[in-house]
Amino acid sequence: MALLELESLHVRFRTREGELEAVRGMDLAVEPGECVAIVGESGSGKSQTLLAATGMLAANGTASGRVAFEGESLLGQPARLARVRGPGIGYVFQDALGSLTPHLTVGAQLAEALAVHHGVSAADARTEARRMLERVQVPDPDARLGQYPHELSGGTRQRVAIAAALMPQPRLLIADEPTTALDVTVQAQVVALFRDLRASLGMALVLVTHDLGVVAGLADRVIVMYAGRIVEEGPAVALFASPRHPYTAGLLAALPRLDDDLAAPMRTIPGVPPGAGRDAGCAFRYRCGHASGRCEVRPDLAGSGSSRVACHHPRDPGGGS
Amino acid sequence: MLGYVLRRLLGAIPTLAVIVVLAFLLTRLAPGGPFDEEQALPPEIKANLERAYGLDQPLPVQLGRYVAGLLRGDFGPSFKFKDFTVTELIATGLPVSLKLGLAAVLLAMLVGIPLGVLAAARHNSAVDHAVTGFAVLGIAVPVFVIAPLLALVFGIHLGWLPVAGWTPGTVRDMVLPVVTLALPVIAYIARLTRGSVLEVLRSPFVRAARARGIPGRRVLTRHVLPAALVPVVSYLGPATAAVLTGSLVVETIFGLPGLGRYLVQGALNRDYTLVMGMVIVFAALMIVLNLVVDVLYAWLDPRMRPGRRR
Repeated sequence: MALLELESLHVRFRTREGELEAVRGMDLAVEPGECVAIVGESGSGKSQTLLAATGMLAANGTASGRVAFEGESLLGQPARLARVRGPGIGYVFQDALGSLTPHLTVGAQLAEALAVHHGVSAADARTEARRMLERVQVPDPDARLGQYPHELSGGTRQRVAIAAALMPQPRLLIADEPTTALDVTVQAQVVALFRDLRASLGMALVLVTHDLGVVAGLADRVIVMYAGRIVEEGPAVALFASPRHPYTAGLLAALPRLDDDLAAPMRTIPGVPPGAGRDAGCAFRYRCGHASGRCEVRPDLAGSGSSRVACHHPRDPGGGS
Repeated sequence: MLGYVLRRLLGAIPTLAVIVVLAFLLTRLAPGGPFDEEQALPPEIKANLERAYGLDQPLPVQLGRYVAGLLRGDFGPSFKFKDFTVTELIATGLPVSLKLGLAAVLLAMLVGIPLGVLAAARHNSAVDHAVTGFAVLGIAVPVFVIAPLLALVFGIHLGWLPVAGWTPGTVRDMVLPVVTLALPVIAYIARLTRGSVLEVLRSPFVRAARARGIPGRRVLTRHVLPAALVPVVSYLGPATAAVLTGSLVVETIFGLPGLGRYLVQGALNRDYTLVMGMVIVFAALMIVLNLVVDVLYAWLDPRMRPGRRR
């Protein structure tokens, strides 16, 4: 049984300009211990999918479809969601400073999550908090316990935020752009930390990112989202080696390389993502070099085995074009 | 923290000195004097009076004498409340005003903050609308309307509480004036708290706390409330000052021997020493209130604690 299962998940927002559909039918299964990366540009619905799955959409958002954690349906079940958040699913956000309550000490925040979920005494929770800080490689953990978030550096804050999410021992950790706000050396350290934690704790990891370097270092499986839908998914190695959807290929081609000509402009995917209006065709056709008349009808996500792609003109799996 | 408080209190001395000098000069700048009556006094009597009170001396000499008195704790004689020194007037009026004012502010906090939190937690519900409506009403209706209405209902129709009067040491006499003083402050604090809690509820650390599975009520009290109370605390200083100085109407309606009437009468009568006494007392109160507010800030938010840097 999959740990987390999403079936035809839709997320809609009521706004002044009318209803926006941010996620348009998303299917996803995360197995225990697996690392799944969800990639795609800003606004593709990556974060909203996971916020909806954990019942944390903004007040004007609604989710429909099916969300199950360990077989238990969660959507519209606030009591179950409250039980799953923390010990079931942990969440690490992009904004590390913002993720920590400014007026509580590091120790108080770490211990709280454990005390609330596992009824541990304050002293034991503090011991465990210290051990968790060591585990996420925060230097001088004893001193950190008594400090406030504003007294820590950005990288330490993100480590503490990760430790806070790990305290209730979640079976699945969602990391929403965990490295975006950090400088490059700290990014590499955090990626290494996630790799260690997965190996030592055996938890599943869902990684939301637009940093393909992070994906390559961590993920077993990659899901590429565009305009609220999955356009391609597959094992990380295969997907990087031979992307089949033109959008995936574009994302990979846009990665800067060390041997790039520094004077040349960076490669981009021309055009802009579509708005959130209704559209019967492939959402990528306006930016796609391969689009034809068939693309006026939206292609289904289809394929064999673990690799699937939603495209009428998929690239040859054998090699690039 | 103790060292910080002491430093702040020492720092208040020059502030008070400037206030004393400015207030002294301003009272003398105002046209007229304490012995100008509608029926003018014979010039020789007025001259005698002014000599008796030292008003015939040059201003710097007067100021020097006044300050010398202050340093001995002597605020001088009142020009209008003859037979009383200003020190005596303060000694009788200040405890009454302080009791009323602090009780009103305490009541306002105890009622206003929970009301605001409740309204924010049930955003857009009937409770929220009721609190918001009450807040608008409480801010809009002036004290001189509330006071007689309360006296009419609870003093005359229901007969539960005295309409007016002051017997030292009784609580019954305080209820109506304190409620009257507190109502607008309750309304304002409720509105302020509601808005502030709603804002903090949207911050990322609240989302992160919820994502860690912290139950809603605990998120509200531990993660939201301390952050949300910062603007409320900023308002407490001026609110207490306003309640203490603005109690004239309430003191008059309920016949209370507080300080409010001395401030107004003193100013109208050009009772120089009385006005000076009131200004100094209220300035000292403001300084202490601001210090209390700053200490509360530090208690609520570690980022505002003195001397703690990254």
